[in-house]
Amino acid sequence: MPRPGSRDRSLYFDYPRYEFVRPPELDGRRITHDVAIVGAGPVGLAAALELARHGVSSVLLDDKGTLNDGSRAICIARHSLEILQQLGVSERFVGKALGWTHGTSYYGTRPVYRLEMPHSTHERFHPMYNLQQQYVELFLAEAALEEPRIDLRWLSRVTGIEVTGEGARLAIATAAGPYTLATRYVIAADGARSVVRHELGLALKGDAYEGCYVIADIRMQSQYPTERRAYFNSPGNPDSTVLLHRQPDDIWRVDYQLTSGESETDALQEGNVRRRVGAILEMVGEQAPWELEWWSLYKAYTLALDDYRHGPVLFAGDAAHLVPIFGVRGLNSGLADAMNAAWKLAYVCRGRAPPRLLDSYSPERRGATLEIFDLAAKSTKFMTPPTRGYRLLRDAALALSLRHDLARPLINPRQSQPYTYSASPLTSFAGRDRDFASGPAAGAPLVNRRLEHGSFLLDALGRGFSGLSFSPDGKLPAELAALAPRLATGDEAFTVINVRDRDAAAAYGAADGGFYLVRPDRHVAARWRTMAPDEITSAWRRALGWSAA
Amino acid sequence: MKRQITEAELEQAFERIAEAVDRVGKEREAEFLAKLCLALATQLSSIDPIADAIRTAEEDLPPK
Repeated sequence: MPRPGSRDRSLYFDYPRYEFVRPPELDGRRITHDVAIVGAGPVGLAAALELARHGVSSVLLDDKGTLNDGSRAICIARHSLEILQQLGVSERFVGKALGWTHGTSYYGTRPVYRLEMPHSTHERFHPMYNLQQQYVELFLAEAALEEPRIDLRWLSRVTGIEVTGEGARLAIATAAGPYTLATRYVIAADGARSVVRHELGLALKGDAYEGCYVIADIRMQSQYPTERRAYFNSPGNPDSTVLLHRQPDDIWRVDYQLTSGESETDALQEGNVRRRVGAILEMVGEQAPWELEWWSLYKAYTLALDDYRHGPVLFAGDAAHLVPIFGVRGLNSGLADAMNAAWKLAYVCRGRAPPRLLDSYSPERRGATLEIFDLAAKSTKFMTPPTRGYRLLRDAALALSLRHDLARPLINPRQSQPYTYSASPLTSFAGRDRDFASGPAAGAPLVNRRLEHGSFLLDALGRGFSGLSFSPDGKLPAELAALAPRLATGDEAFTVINVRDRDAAAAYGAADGGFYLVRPDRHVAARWRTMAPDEITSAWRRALGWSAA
Repeated sequence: MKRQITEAELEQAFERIAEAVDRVGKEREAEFLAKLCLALATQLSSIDPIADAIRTAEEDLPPK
């Protein structure tokens, strides 16, 4: 009998069925594709959409004929919404997802910490949204299916990979027979059990953490607002931890930690899940009837490949790294991987940048992973103390926080933040950041600002490289007007945004004549207090991989 | 004005004390923590913060 919430028995989600379409290779056509993407999950779909946005076609392969039901990320950070906006799909997400800004942590049933994520009228998006991964995949898949540059091949299982002098050859099994697909580049986005990674003999390395969680989704009508609730040592799960999140469609995520020595097999028995969830709902005062939608078991890992690039293969998302759920970085870092890999591959495939540009992928995205590991390890040790010492200190911090602020920073769940590529080979003049009183540093993602007439700064960015020029009189400096056409890449114009708004200039630490050079993924390549055309040109060349530091 | 411990330093203190508790073991844990408190007390300039900290630490203890 299928488990509740499987594709055959979801309470709220109708899994689409996608048909197998016979590919030309099965009829003997010999084609070398620019990019093949393995895995049509959120990471692979986002990468395909970003490649298409830059004019590059891709083949997207997935062994299923529908969407994922095994991975159930629910939290989408603001930076990811900004990525989805770039991909042209954010409206559907915002229309369905539940935005939130804060959370509460409890010791027993008494509040000890209030999480307030930065938010203001200058932001287009909330700091965080809750949306089931099925919807994330559905919205991206529907956009991909409408995009002629994406050849979405469902029911196509990659069984092997051979790296060649020209790229790679993928062995693919289908119901109509096997075939080989030739491609210049591969994005391996095939998840934690990546076949590509396995076939190349590569392994994730790192640590496993103590503690085991049951993750359950239930359907229940409740008026409780959307926020993160964390309970430590509560009556609903004594001596352990509980997390509660609201999702669309009256679905609630209930995560509860198993106590030491508790059998994982027993914990997954439906009756035990119902009993434990019932105790938690009773604790939080929920009395409405509820139904069990889905449940699974979760353990925290910090595992990553040593190098996210293996010749023509770029690993992204869970294929490259596994991160703990605490801090909601799995899906969010995967989307950032996808964007980073895709714009670089697009530029290389279209001859706008040398293949050396791809050398920056692993330092940038693995650097992001290592920062995540550092933050997530702290969160994980607090949520699930690995030893008696950590447990003693954790409980002391929680007890002190019942009445005092002094230990409350230790309870901060350290939610997902985008990474700053300050040490990237593509970033210039990072050492000059000290000259700025504020604003995103070299390598950091841009920050949004509401401009006149209600528009937002990030809305004005182009597909390719952009420049933010700060001049209160609204006049574009003549030297910049002359320079901009030379910074176009192929058919992608260099977009210059002339920022007159004084508040925006202050937020960017920019005086009259200040300038930010922005990469296609909206990270700052370099910034200047006073515009210097020769330096802008050299930073632009460096950000494209044409020149080294 | 006296400098406050930063959040990063507080996190380091949390980790270092937790790891020290594990090193000394359960049976010597109470003595270790008492010595730690006294050692920290000698780094303060008056009894007032110690008295405050004792009051704070006595709050919300589990029932005997």
